[in-house]
Amino acid sequence: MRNVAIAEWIVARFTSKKRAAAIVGDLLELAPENGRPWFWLSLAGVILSLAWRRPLAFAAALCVYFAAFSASFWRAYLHFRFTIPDPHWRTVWGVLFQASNCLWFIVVYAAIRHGVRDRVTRLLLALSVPITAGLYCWERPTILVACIALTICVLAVSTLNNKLRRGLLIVVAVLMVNAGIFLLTAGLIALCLRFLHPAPTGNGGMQPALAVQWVEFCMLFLIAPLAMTSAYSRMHNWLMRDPSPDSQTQV
Amino acid sequence: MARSPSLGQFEQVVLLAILRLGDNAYGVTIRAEITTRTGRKAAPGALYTTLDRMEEKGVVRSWLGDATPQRGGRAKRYFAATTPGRAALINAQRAYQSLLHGLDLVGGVRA
Repeated sequence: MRNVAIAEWIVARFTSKKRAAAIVGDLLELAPENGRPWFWLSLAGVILSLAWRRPLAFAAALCVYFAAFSASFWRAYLHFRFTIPDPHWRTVWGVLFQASNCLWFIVVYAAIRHGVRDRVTRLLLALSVPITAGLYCWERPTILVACIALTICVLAVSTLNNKLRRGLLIVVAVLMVNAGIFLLTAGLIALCLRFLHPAPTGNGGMQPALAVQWVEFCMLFLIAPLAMTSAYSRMHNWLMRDPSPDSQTQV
Repeated sequence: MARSPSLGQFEQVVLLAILRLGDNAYGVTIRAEITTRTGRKAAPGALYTTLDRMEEKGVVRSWLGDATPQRGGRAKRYFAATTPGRAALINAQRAYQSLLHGLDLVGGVRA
């Protein structure tokens, strides 16, 4: 059958090359008795089954990211303007809020892709809840102290077990990727502003050109989430595979 | 002692088919065995994602066999149940048997 190589290439986008070859081989073995339409329909079904979780997980995580970002924007930038006069502290809080948003984004992505029983998902959830609660209830010392203590406990417990240590490494890597994209965005915006004239606002001030705002939006809400999910998936595949000899796979 | 992983209904069906097939358990034969024994035609997509998930759980392991011309030179991916997989299946079947105990479903539910 022609175009089988193309079919195999498509399946290999969603699983390993060897697994894709085995799947297409199975379908080819059954194709003479079921016909060509069956082969392509089955192939479409296989691709759909292999692929549906990723876009769904990404879309759901992005919705949560938007919601968390909006909430933290109102909390950090509007409320803190009056309660935290020092701009340096406001920056620190802003960074912490962004880390919390990033954690929630990856929690939802991880829960849909690997399930809530996955160790990394549980670790992410165990970190996200106290960090977020501490950030939103920072005026109440009891809650803040309890949240900090809980976060330290979770971090301490996650260093005891090898699997959890690997999970923690994944979380740190995802946060680093997010921070890297943020720094890159800041650099890119600074570079863009050199070449683009800012637009005047109504009260005589100046605001960044619309193109710059679009670059910022795309970097923060498209490139950063894509980079985070990519880093998470690759590291999860690399670090969380069971190395016990009984379940070792030779594919 | 490590807790054995939980298995869904379809996962149990697939694992039983793998155990029945022994050394010849790969995609085509597993699907055929399920159809023969249960009368249920498993969709290829559902079968491969279930096998991948079961492998991630550590209940089955897989390896590649020889390439055959019938398959366009592509190797078969064989599956076998692991020790934790067998333990999980036994646990699941014990739970079913415990629930079925005292019920005469073949002759109708006992009043």
